[in-house]
Amino acid sequence: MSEASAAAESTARELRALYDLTAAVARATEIEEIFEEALRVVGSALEVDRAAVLVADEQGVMRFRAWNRLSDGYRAGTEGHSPWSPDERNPLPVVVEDVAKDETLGELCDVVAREGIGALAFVPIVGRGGLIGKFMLYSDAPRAFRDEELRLASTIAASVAVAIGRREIEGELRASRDQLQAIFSAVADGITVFDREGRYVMANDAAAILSGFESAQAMLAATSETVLQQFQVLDEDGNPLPTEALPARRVLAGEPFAERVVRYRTVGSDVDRWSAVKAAAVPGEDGEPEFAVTVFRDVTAERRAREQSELALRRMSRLERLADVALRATTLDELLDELVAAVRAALGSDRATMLLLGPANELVVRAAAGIDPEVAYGVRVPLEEGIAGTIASTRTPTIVDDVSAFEPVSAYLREAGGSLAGVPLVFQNRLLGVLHASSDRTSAFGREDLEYLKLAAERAAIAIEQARLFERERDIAATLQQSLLPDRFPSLPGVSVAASYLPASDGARVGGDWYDAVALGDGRILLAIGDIVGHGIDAAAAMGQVRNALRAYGNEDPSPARIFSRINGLLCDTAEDLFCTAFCAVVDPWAQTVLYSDAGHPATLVLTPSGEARLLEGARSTPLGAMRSARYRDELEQLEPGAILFAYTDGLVESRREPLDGRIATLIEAASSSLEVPLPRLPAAVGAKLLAADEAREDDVAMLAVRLDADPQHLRLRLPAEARSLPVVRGALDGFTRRAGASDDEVLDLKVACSEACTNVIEHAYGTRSGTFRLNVAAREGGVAISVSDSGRWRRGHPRGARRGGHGLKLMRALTDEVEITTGTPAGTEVRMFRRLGR
Amino acid sequence: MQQRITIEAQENHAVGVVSLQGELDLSNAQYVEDAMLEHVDDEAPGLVADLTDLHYVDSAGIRLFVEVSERLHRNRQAFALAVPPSAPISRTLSIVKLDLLLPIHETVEGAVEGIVSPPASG
Repeated sequence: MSEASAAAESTARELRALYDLTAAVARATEIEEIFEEALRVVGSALEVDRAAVLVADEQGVMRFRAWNRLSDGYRAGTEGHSPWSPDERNPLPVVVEDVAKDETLGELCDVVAREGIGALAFVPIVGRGGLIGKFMLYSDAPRAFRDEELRLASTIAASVAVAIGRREIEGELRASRDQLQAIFSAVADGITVFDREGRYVMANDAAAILSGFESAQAMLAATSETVLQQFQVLDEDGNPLPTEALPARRVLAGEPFAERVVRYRTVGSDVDRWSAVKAAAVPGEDGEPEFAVTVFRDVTAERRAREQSELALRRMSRLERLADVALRATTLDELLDELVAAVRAALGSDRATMLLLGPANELVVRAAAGIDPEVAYGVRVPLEEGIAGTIASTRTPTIVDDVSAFEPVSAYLREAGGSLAGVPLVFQNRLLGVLHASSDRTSAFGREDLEYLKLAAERAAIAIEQARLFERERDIAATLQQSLLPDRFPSLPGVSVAASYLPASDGARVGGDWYDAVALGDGRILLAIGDIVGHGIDAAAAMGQVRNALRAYGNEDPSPARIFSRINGLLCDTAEDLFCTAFCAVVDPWAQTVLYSDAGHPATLVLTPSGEARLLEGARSTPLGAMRSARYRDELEQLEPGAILFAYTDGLVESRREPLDGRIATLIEAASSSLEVPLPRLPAAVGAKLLAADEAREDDVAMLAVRLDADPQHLRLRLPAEARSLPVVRGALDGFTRRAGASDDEVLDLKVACSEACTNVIEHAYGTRSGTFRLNVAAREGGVAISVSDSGRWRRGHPRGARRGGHGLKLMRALTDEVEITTGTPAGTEVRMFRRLGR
Repeated sequence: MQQRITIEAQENHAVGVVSLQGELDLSNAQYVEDAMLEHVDDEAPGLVADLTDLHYVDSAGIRLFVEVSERLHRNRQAFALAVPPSAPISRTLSIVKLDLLLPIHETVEGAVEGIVSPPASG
């Protein structure tokens, strides 16, 4: 094997390995899977004997998370070591070429040598917040590490960093989802009893925990004075609250009973919590209050939920983010189902039902537990009618001991008979619906059941309002995304474009897939496709930003790699935790080339008219926003006339049933066999072949197909007779004439000659009216023939006088071999030129 | 709006030097003319346009150079171009014999020198 082809093969192997890793990152459900895959990739792409991944724990100590062939002793002996300080902003790889001779390792030298390691390299894993771990490469014999090896290892480390970042985000999502659960699960009330001097006589564990003690025992050793010192006590509005105003103090001062919501803040923190406090006095022998019994409940979650709902309502029009991302994914129906099940279980009732007020002022059964959904769901109850209607219209919690005695009553209730307890759902004085529990037995419900229902309804109302907001927000995000995904493209010179977008199956989430195709000022076409990690409004908004940045940067400097570098900088600079895979290309339809760069995105497919397919795999790098130091490069590839670029997002090739390799092979097969399909339907046809109709789609899918015009011998453009068309003309001529074999000088000559003809049309053909002109260029007979024609009437001369007017014609004559002007015909004016090449 | 041309200005012996980098045609001629005139101080002896990095020019640009030259002359200021003989655009300029209408030097230094100490004109 020649050296060059060996190098090419090794590059191909590295790219394959990187792609596998990127795919694994996208697919893995456990972070350890990603670490293992990273080790496997290193093993296959680099000649190292062993490797390990270490990640800093919460204290910043580097811990082994995955390794191969390292002894326990070695790991124990070296864990925690790092060649960089934890706050190092831009850590670089550190290489120890010969463990025996290098002093970098200091006292670790022995441990390393005992393990039989001759050389090693530390490769930093850098995440959004800086150094998050390291990747270790070990060689048994002393050796140097080539720059390319370290670069590849850094790229792998970057993928691992992306994976860790993604896990963190997902972890946060789960945490906030758990918060929702917390709203529904009953929190034990704190109970304390203290005497006139503030000494605790009794305290339960809940009280201790809520007050910041480890146990009730510890709390009993304190006094209410010292407990209060730990907190800044505020009223609901955040104003300082005097100690005397606290319920316990008030009952000790003589009031029999006192309650209020207290807001408090641990001294030194900036997090507020809310507590609903009730206190009652226990009189002593003298009749004066001797003890205060205090019951308090943490209501922070409810407060926050309520505040968020209020805040969100105010902010909705401005599309501002809601704090709790996870809740967006929780549908109202899921929420209601969970709620009725919980109510039924808590009351031990046979049934629980949730009715919500619909648009026609009717209550509609939206969720039910213990009832056949076929029977109950969708049942409508007019307000003021039936049991639920009465509860709603009177807004009164009600117990009906015998349902059959109540008229009128819905069929599904009457059939069961028995008794019922129901409460209205009210949020900020607005009626939302009714929650009721029913039993086969008559008189099954008591006051405490009604109290429980009231509590559940209070919390449910907040959650329902929230879920509705989230659903509304999701609709907005979906609309936003759709507005960013053109389903039709303006006609672009030299190419045809088609796209397709398929949302995820459950439809509940708005994905971050996007694509774009736009003409640049020089007549070339900028294509992009990408996938923002994340969902909802943030992702949709980020998608808009990235798309706009691409368009803006693309017109300034049409290099996909430099566009990516700038967007990467932009995403790394903003505090948003956003990253994005993307493929970007500048297609020159006249030169029939594509200049592209790939930021961690699945490789775009090239389909030739003869049915061959290949992947554009030459310029792979890391996703945008994942790593500040990422480098992007451009790759130029010649395309065949009529070739199709087929770009897609990973939802098209991801499947739990099949490995990625197989999916890409299937894609190539599906795309190559779809060439008979007209281009506008090609994306949908490929999608239909790859995505089985019966398989749930977990991710959204975007596809973009761009076909070069098939006629390589002719360049035909119709452009507005405006000065901004001139760069387009030159851009098209540049690509076309080079492909026809013109030299640099000949290309420039043809550009000047052609621009002169076009400038004349623009300046003289239409006066102040608007119009268009046609450019036809053909490669023939060893030269290039150009025709520029308009349908206007030239006005003779130039306002500035004939003295300066002659340059254009002089240039056309000097720079071409033949010039022929046909003017004054009804069809307008035509300038024809011919230039031999290689003259 | 995108202009496809970058204009950098500096001063050399009190003479303004504007370097035009990119492409000059009808679509940006007015913008370039305004920018060039902005960089001539009323007191300056003249202006040099450095075309070393101008990759494209046609009759619209040539017209613009003549226009600027006449404007400056009315204000008793000189205008000269610096075009290295190797520059691809030098062919375009020579076809229209622009050197008959205004001085064209091979270097910026030569053009500045020509303005600061004009050759004795007899």
